[in-house]
Amino acid sequence: MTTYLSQQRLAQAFVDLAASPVTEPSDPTGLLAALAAHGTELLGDCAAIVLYAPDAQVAVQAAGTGQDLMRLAHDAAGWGEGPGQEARHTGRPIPDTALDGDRARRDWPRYAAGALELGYGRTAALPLHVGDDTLGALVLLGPGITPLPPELQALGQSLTDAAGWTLERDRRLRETRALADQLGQALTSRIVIEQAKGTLAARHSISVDEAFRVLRSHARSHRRRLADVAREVVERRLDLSGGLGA
Amino acid sequence: MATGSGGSDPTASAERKAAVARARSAHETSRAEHHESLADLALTDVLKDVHLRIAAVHRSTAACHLTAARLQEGYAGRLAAWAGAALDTPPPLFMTGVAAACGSSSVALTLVGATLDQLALAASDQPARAAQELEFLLGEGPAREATSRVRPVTAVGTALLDRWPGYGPAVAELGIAEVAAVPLSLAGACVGALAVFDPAPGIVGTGTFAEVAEALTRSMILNPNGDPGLYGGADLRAEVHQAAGMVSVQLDCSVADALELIKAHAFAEGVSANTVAEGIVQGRLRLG
Repeated sequence: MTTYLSQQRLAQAFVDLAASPVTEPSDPTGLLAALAAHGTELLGDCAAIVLYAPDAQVAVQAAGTGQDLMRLAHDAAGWGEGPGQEARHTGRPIPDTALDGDRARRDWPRYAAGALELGYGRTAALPLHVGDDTLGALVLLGPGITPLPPELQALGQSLTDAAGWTLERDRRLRETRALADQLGQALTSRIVIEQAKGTLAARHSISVDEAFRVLRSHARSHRRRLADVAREVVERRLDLSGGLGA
Repeated sequence: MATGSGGSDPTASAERKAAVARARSAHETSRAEHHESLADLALTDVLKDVHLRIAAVHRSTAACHLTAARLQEGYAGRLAAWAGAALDTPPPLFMTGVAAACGSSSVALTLVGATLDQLALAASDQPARAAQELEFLLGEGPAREATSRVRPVTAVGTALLDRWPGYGPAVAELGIAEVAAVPLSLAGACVGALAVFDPAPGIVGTGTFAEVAEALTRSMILNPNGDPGLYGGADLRAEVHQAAGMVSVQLDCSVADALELIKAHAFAEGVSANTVAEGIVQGRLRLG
């Protein structure tokens, strides 16, 4: 597993994950792209399914490395059962489990049957942590009866952690930029209101306090935002002489 | 400037913010420790390196949150002491603690808009306020440059004069020999700068200013529960903008042009824009 070639592939997979600023709608975690790009070197003859559910309201997105797996992934999302769903809900990994064993038959009957039909015999699932939440999971499927090697599960968890860290970083980026925009707009609006007070004061020979009363009264009676009214006054698109002498 | 959260009891608000910052710092530290232990268990050097780098980011963020907590606690303590003594002095400023953290008595915080115009400002003392005013009047200086380049800016002695031919000599006349400014930014969004005047020797380039700036940005400026008004200590130059509105009518020009006229008059007279504005609003002064 830890050959020189594997290390190179590993390194590239992590770099790709961490560097991806834009996420695909079909694979918002970037995990499948990383796994697909670095192929069987990382997974051997195992397969992977990725679940992602950023919102409780939104349906679970699922995808797999291959057509049959895509179908299984979507079916599982529809049934609401499977090791991936369980890992997502509990936030804890599902260790290597036999698909024809008691545990699989009891907890994921339809899923296990579907996976067995595709020729898989073992499964494990790693939770996708984004900040303090668990928003998805990476499911590994192994052929035959050989248990999934611990290194593979550890690799899966590391890749999933890297994806989660990227998603969290992106989420914080968006939130912070929105806050910065809001702050700029709030400050600019307050300044425009001051400019409007001065404009009205000079135009109608009233005090700035009286000008503010005129502005506010117009905004209220026309159900408009004070900053919008102020902007129109400053840009000479609104006169408000009708509000004087009140 | 009206405060965001804080309203009636700034001491309680500062204590709350300090508690939140300490909790965030502890959380970041535990994330760092988690990645450090993952690094220890890593099967390859590549994985180890990734985890160590993630851990380093968490450690740096933890330190910022701790600095933020100390700024809030310092302010809460000064405010409680002032309220308890019931003196006739003005209330303590949040910026006093920021100055102390930067190893200077004179620091100035500026929030800017898309055009780099100063929107809101706060200063720890009169020299800082005067230097900040010079940047406003002349449209050049360390804070403006730090904001536009999103990089730290420093200048000392004759370099001050060379770099800013207008601002340099004027700020030297205030008796200031060295200026340093760091951007206030988070996640690539830059909203202004923190400027330090005549800092203590050896502190420039240590990363202290950047840490204080990040602490301020995280806990007060770009925080949904923050207070960009700095507990009422920040100023919007309301009267200057009112005066600009008046001048725009009196001289039939845009408010932007009116503002430039006010600034030019203030610089020529050696007074602040607020002083000129006061005269205009009170009808004692007419430009043009």
